[in-house]
This record gives sequence, C-alpha cells and structure tokens, in this order.
Amino acid sequence: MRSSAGQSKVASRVKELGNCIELVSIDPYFHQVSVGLFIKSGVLTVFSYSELPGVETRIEQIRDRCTQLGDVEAVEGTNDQLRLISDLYMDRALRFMFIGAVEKDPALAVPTGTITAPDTKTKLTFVITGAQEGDKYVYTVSTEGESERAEMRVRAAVGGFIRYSNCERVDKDKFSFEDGRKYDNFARLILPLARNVSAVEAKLEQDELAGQMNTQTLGFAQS
Amino acid sequence: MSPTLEKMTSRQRVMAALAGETVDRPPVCNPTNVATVELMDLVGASFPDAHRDGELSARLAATGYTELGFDAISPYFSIIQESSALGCDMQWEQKDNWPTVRMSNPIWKSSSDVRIPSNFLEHRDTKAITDSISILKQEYGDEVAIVGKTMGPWTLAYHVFGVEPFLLGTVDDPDETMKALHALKEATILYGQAQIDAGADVLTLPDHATGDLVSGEYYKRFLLEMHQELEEELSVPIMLHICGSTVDRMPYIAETGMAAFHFDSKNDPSEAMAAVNGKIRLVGNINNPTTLYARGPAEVRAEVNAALDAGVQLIAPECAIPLKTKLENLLEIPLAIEDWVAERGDN
Repeated sequence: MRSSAGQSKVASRVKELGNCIELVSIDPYFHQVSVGLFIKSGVLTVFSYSELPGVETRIEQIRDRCTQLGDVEAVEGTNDQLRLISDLYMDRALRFMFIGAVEKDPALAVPTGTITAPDTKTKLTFVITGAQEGDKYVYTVSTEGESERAEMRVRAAVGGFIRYSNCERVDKDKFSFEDGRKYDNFARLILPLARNVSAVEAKLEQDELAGQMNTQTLGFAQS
Repeated sequence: MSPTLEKMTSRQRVMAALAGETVDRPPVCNPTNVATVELMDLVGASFPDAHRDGELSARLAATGYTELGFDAISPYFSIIQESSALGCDMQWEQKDNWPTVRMSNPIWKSSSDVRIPSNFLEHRDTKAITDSISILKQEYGDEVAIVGKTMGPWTLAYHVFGVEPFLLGTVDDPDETMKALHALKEATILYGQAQIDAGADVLTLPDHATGDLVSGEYYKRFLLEMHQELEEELSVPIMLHICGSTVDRMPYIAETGMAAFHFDSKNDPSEAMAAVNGKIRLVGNINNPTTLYARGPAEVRAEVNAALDAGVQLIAPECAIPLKTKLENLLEIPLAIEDWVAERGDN
C-alpha cells in the first residue's frame, strides 16, 4: 500500500494545522487557489495546499490583511501565523475577517478612523463609538441623517453584533464584547454585516449550497 | 469479521465486502466523489478540467486513497458525463461547484428521439473517465478498488427530457416512459461496459428515483426489472445509488441482485438494514451537509459508529461530498472504523 491516512501528506499537514475555521475555495487574487484558516493551541495559520510559485507571498499578504481587518496580531518570525489578542474566541468574526482578507481587493486600503457604514435599508449612516464604562468597554451605535426608523435600525444593528460576535446588549443602542474588552477592528468588520442580518444569512446560505451535491442542487427535487 | 483474517489490501477488502464475504475490517468505499478544493490544489487538478481530462481526473481521484486512506478510488466525480456526450446543454461551472445539465433546455421529447451517438464512447467527456480508469488501473493495479460509474436510465431521462416533462409523462403515458427508459438503458450498459473494459472493479449506478420525487411503488413499477437487467448485463459488482428517503423502496432494491445500495443519511441505518433484510449490502451513510461539511471529527466518528453498530457493511459519505468539506473530517472516517474494530476485538 502506497500510503494510508495516518501517513499521508494531508494527514501530517492536518495534524500540524489543527482545525479548519474557514476555507475559501477560490482566491480571486491568486490563481483561484483555495486558502484556509486553521487553529491549533491558540495559533491561527493561513494555509493553502497549492504549491504554485508566489503562494507564500500571497499567504503573507492575507495574513497581514487579517491583522488590519480583525483584532489579531502576526506571530513574529512567521509569514503565515496569527494569534488572538485575548482569550476570547469569536468564530464568526474570525471567519468574516478571513473571507474579507482573501476576497477583497488587496490594493484597497482598509478604512481607519471613525467606525461608520451606510444603512442598506434607509438613508442613514451608522456610527459606532466606544468608551470604557466601569469594567467594560462599551460600544454605542448612533446614526447620522434623517429617518423615522432610526431607533429601530440601531436596535437591529446591535442585534447583528449579538448574532455575529456573541456580544452582549448593554442598552438598546449599546453593546459590549463578551469579555468586556475593546475590539475596534472587529466592530468595524462586523458593522456592515450587523446592519442587515437577513441579507447576510441569505448570502451565507447560498454560499453553503455552492459545492453541495444534493437533489436540490441537481434539480431533482420539488421546488 | 474474522479474528484470524490477515490484513487485506484495500481492493480485497472492498470486493469481499461487496460479495458478502469476511473482511478484516469494514471498508471505506466511496461510490461517489470525495475530491475537495484543497485536494484539487494539492495535485494541481481542478474542476472543471478534472471532469474532462483523464489524466487530471485520475490524479485527483487517487487522493481518496493516497491521502485520505479510503479503500476505493472513484474518478467519475459528477453525474453528467454521458449526458454531455448525448448532446445535452451543459453548464460546466468552476472549481468550487458541480457541472450541471441545463434541464430547462431538454434535447429530446419522446422515446423516438433517443439516439445514442455512434461516437458516444469517444466523446471527450465519456472518454475522460475511461482514460482515467485505465491510468488508475495501471498505477494502482490490484492495490485498491477502482470504482466506475454509469448513470441509470431514470437519471438520464431527467437530463435529456427535463425533470418535469419526464415525470408528467410517467402519469400521462407510462408505456412511452418505459420505451424511453429502455432506450436510455442502452447508454447505461454501453458506458458501464466500457469502464469495465478499462479496468473498473466495481460500478456505481446512480438512478435518481429519489424519495423527494417518486414513491417506492414507482420504483417497483418502472425500475426494478430494469435494474435487474442491468445487474445481469454488467459483470462487476454494482452499487446502486439513490438519494433521499428510500426506505420505502429498499425491499424492492434488495431484489435487484446488485451487490450494494448506497443510501442517504435521511434513512436510519438500523431501519435500512431491516428493510433490505440481508438481501443486499448497504454502503453509507455519513451525512454531508451537516456532519462532514459543518461539524467536526467527533460528530463524524459518531455517525461512523452508528452505521457500523447497525451492521452497515461498507462505510462512505452518503453522496458526493461538498467541495469545501474539511479534510480533517474525511480523515476521521477510516480512523473511526479502525478504532471501532479494535474496541470490539473482532480482529
């Protein structure tokens, strides 16, 4: 027998990398290769099974992009590893961070400064500010512009943070992360998703169906 | 299993299990695809090219054995190769999705339209698989079971007539439906035989009379006899594949004479074993969309154990796996089987 699961290249690699948090099937900026984010003992690794020339540079670019999009830091002396800045593990936020790092144009600068995003359902613009309140760092969602639905939209956005980052609602317009610490990058990353949960869910569902073979995707099921 | 049996090769294990003989451990025998986007990158053979080029197909399919430790290699990843050769309107998609037939644009209307082209086996998309099987047979010889696949007449009918027109026809004119199925059956035999000639040890025969769309009685009425004929015509063990809830037709499927039935996770393994009553082996039925795709090794192991506890003879994902399936989950399947056997001290 040439190999078995226990000895194969993939089996060894999986052992090294740990569990897969997110896998992007197609990197639109590097030869359509797949790229994954893995976690083992608190260390995140960006990895691709591709051996195309230049893949290591691209991995480093994705890794560095993650540090701008999320509250993670590069592991010194590596080109592919990251670590969380605290013990708080936010699965969905990390997944969104990684997808953004792979799929967004690397030439575009990551926004800095005030955390804002236009609302997709009104003409409002969401603004998030943070401040230490007692033992918690609390984020407040407000809006700029005019809409009768402003209060409702703010509540919905806070709900989005609860859904995608396990945040806690402090007030109708305020939330904090689970451990009460400051995570400005994740707040900026999640805001565009938190403002329209139903659309994000529909997109996630659509993404999950891609690559699944079943009676529905084959067209052999009742619609 | 026998306490005295020596370690078998993967091929010996699969062939013995399909024959209902003693095995050193239950095989992982995937009747359908186990390639993922990561494996495509590992060997530089991606969809859609790997569907259409024998060398790429072989390279990608072999990873099921060399990297995942499965006991079979299945190089026919999709369900559309014959339909492409018959002239269907194809959508080949890209690396991360399955090619499909545009069934809203059917090529034929009735049984009298059915014509199997004279170059059917020479068409790029049928030849890719026979070429792939030849390469794999040469490369792996008797080490591992090479699994071919030939689509059944019911599935071909969906592709060439369109799902809705074909199903309406089964109600409006059942005799015409039977004529069409008989005509299409020739393609099933032709392509199955070509794969046997190329070196396939086993054939998967998907025929999507699924629980979603047709009843068990429909299976008996339109397909049982036809499947018995196919089993007689094709000289290697056949694994019939039908998706969905199929317990209602399993007693009929057990009468086909085929070696095994590849069943879906919508069916409870114990209930399925009772339904076939020892007349056919079962292959399956690890859930794809939830367990293999979205959960972790622990959940995979639990499903493998449940299938083995129920007496399922060959373990496999329930259908072609999602292309983004985590490799750690696939690697867990053979490990779980080995541990299950070791824990019971059966071998």
